[in-house]
Amino acid sequence: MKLYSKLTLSLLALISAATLNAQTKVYITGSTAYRAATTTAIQNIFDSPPTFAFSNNSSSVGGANQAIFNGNIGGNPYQISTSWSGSEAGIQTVADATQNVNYIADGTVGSISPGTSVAAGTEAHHPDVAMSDTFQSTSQFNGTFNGVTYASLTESPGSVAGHGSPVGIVPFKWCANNGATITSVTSQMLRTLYSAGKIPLALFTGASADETKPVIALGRNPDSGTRLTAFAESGIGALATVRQFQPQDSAGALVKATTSTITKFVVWPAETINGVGVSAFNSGYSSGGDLSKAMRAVTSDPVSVTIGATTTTYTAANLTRIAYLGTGDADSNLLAGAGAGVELSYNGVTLGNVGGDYNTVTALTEGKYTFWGFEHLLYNSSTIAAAVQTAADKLATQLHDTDAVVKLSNMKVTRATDGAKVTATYAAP
Amino acid sequence: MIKNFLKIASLAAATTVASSICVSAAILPGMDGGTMPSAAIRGDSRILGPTPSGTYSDLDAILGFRVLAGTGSGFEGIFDLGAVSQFKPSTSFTLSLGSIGSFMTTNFGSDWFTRSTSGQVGKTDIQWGVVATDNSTSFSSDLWSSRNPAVRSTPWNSAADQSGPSNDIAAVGSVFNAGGAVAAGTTSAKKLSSSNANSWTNYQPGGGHGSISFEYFNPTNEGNTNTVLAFDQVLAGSSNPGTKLGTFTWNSDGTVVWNGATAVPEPSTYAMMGLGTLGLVGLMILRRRRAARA
Repeated sequence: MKLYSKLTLSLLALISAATLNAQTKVYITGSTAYRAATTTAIQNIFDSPPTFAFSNNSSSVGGANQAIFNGNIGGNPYQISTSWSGSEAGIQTVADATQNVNYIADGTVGSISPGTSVAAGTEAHHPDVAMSDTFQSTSQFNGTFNGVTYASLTESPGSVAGHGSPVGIVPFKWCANNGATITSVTSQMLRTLYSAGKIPLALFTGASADETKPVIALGRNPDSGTRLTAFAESGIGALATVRQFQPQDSAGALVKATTSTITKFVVWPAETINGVGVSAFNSGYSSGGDLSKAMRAVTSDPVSVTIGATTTTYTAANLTRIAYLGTGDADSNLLAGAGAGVELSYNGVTLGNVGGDYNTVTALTEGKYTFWGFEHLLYNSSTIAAAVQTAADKLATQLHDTDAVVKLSNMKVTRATDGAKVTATYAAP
Repeated sequence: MIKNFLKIASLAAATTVASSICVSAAILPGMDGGTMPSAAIRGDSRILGPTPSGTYSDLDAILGFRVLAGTGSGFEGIFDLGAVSQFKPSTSFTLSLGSIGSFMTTNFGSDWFTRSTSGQVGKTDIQWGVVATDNSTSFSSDLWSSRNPAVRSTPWNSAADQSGPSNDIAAVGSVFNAGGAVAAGTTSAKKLSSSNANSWTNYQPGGGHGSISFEYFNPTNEGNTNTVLAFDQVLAGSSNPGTKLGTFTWNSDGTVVWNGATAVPEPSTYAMMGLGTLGLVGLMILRRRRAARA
């Protein structure tokens, strides 16, 4: 009997220990524009540098579309998996319990920094946390849409009161390709460009000689918070239907590498994304990283533009492409080094500071430059597991206090929602 | 044998005369812009158009309306009317939309057709219009739109770039498709929230997208429930004014009638009329012969 009791107690102790040490798995998705900052913050909330692996679309974990981290947080084992597919897709997939996202397989253990490069994963999980460049109220995945009722997501309060979501500021840039002759855009020009998809360069330069030279629009698909913010900010309309081209190489493949050569631009084909149909011309890249690389890629000379049954050929130097990008992708993939693209001033203001710390750029923090949004860390507070929420709240505070692209504490201005007017946070003189 | 031929021809004559009366009624000019015409000239409700699928596709016409006040405020309605190509100058028919009257009464009040409580002088609470576009088929941005002739007497002008309103119409179509199931008893009607960023309401004057309809039709492409709306084709890429194709009439029983602007009898109709005339002549000859024998 005594032996039996001891065995029972030992078994219970083992089970208890196993339970205490069971690894908590956290699945994060959403904003590609904030993936570098969020990746840094994830690494920083572990008790000691975690091991990690990341998808091989990027040479570093900060630019990777997927990653997986292993280590302890608060003495407890955690696995945090990330898969970035856009802010709106993040809101949609977290707010709809039936939606899954593909991640690197559970149990994949990489190495301590610089980590291990692996193939992109296809293991489907329902995400717990969405990083979003936009408010859920601006998103189409708010309330009932397309016959699906989306849960109302909660902004993380953070692990320290008052240090939660929004977790920071996400600035964006309007950019053109290398060699572009234009240096500025206005809201009015952008409304015309993204409405038509292709307009004369003369509208930007004021030179009649440019009436025969086209400017074409490139961009993201409707799952992108960068797109939503760009369109809300410029007055195009947050959820507007627009016209964006797809760059293709000579084999007809989508261009998403800086080393590719674009031979033609075609109407972005109609597609269905997470069950939502997007009409032809209205879609775009699923990743800001891929878009920024396509903006960097060179074109053949001549290069063609096809709309419906009409193909027009242009001298390469006469064709300008414009896109909207998060500062991370713009700076790292497009605006630095030989062959860099052109950062465009927006309504007369250039953000600049390529590759630098945007916390100190007063044009942004004082409100002169308005192409920015709040970054949100969202989850479904009704369904999220306690241990998962603990990590999510800790991540929110880490971003809020330390790793945000621009910390809220440095901003002297605010806005009520995406694209809303910018006002000072201090009393008017 | 001659007798039988004459009898058949006589019957055909009666039928053809009745038909030609209907056609004549449907092509009366200057019908748009006023209030609803009498039943005799509203078009023949027995002639039905194709049944819409209930899913918006590029180049479909959509009838939309907003609610200024009263029952149904905060909502709007959209009916997919099917391919815009069916609305030709040479045709007239009642659309196959199902029980629109019941749909309207249930969702927008039994007084939906006549109610005028918004305080906006001369306006019924429900304002309606019809639009269509080629947004993603050949990407031409061609437009079709209703027009209240009391507000604008000539067709809408074309522009080289009509992509803006074309995108807007496509966006409303997407909202329609995302808006759940078609209302029971109808073929393609949906009651939708007017607060959606791309709602029909938000593309009308005072909505979220400016002061004119679809950011293009100045000042508006809508009218009162009892207004006969002209329907124009506005081809992009030319400076020519649009072309009036005909009129839409929305009746108090919910039926929607298309009347082509320049509807003329088809050649086959002329043939039938000729045959009918021959038949009448034959009938008269028969009667005279019978009278002579008597």
